[in-house]
Amino acid sequence: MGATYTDENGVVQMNYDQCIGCRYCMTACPYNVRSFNWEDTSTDDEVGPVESRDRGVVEKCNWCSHRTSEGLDPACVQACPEDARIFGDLNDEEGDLATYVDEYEWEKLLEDAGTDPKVFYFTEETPGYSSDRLDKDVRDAELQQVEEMYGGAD
Amino acid sequence: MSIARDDGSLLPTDLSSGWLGWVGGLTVLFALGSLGFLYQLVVGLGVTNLSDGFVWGLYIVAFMAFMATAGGTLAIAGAILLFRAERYMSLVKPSLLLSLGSVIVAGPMVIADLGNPLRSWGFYVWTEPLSPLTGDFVVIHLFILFPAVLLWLLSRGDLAARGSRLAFRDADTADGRERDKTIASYIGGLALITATVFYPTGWLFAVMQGREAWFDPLLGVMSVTKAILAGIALLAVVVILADRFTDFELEDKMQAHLATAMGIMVVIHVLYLELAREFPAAWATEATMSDVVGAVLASDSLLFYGWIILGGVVPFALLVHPSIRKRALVVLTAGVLVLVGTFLESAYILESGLPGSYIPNAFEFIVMFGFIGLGALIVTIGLLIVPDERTQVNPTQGDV
Repeated sequence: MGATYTDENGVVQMNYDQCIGCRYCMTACPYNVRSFNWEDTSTDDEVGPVESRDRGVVEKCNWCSHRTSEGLDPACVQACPEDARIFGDLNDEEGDLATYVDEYEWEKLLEDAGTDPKVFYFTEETPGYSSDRLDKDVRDAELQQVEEMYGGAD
Repeated sequence: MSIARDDGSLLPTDLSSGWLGWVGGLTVLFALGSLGFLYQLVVGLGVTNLSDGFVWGLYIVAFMAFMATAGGTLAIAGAILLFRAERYMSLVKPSLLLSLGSVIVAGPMVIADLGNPLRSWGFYVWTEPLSPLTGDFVVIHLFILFPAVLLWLLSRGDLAARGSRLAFRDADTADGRERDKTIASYIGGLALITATVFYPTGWLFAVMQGREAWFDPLLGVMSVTKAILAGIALLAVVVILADRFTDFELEDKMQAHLATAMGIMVVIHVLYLELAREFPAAWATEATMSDVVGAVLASDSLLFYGWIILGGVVPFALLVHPSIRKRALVVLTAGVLVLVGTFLESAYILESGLPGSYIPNAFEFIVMFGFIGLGALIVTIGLLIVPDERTQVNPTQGDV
């Protein structure tokens, strides 16, 4: 049905309005990372500017495109207590992500399947995210931005 | 059952109470299933026992099984028409009716499985040519179109003889019937190719690289052999019952041919191809022949054993000896078991590729049996109103 597409940033996205809920993509996904909205989705204001989707459609991680389009990291990156996740532009040769990919050993899941995944799992210890990322002022500024996006919700 | 038929009308004028009771029962079944489907439209698929692990269940099992019977019966009718196998011509119309009835069950089952059934019109506007689902969507339409057109072509002479406008012809002539039959043989050839070479339902699974149990070219091939086996079984069951309860007459020789064909396909599909799927891995890993056989037959799925035994070993035992398989009850039993096996096989294929566990709930059964009732209703009424191939009404020689 063409409800799944790759956006200009190389992220696989869902067009919820085009999904008929056949779940063929769920069975075909070798990573088992898609989920189906069996019941009505939450309409709680606290979810922020996340694109709404109906009951009966499939969804997947879209790297919090509502956040990344505002220059923020995905929520899981911000929330991770061990700072184990890094998000960035692989084409940005000066960025943290490209630097890490160059300097440390990594592997990708099901690389043999030819799916060209864009998630790298570092197999050796890394020093963590950039020092700026851990700076309290930087984090406070990010939280302020998120608060504004979410309309002042807790 | 004796039926009085008014020559000016398609419908008979005298119907037995047994027939009316059967049709009434099917109508009630369909009504219940429709109500269930409407309720599901309101509350969503959450009413089923499906989950993010086991995403497909009873509806897709029924879809797979009825697509198989639709494809198989269409292939049988198409082959008889294409090769002008006159002695089997009496099986063509029942086969076409069964194909139509089966796809009218299969189509709604896949619609019932959609999270957003009201968006299914999107198939027409958001078509993805490379999606296997598109192939299935096209074939569902062809499985409706081919039987409908062929039934009309093959009934056209009778319709004309009764003065029906549906004939789109003024008179019934021998030349006209012959022309229709020639056209039907070409369309039958296309139907045969569609139902075999382009039969996509098995390939829906066989192309999924991420599912080890499904990513197997033999699974695609076996979907075709399954369809032929299930088609023969359903045809045998229905013509034996029609012979018993309606004016349809099944020759003993024809029943014997159906029984033989069913027995051969049981051996090819269930007892050879399925076990052959497991053979290379067993051969590579086991040391002795008994270990190889043990590995081939090993499974932790009850569905697998149910299918192999009920849908393979028992029907084979019933059909293997000529003196036993000449009995209608034996062929009927074997046919029903093969159809049960087709369901179990479809369920086993799903189970083998999906994580987690699943048992369908009563609601899912109500919806499924409702649409099976609709298909049975169409076949029942079709057997009544579609003129039998042998009841020709002395067509005029040459064109009028």
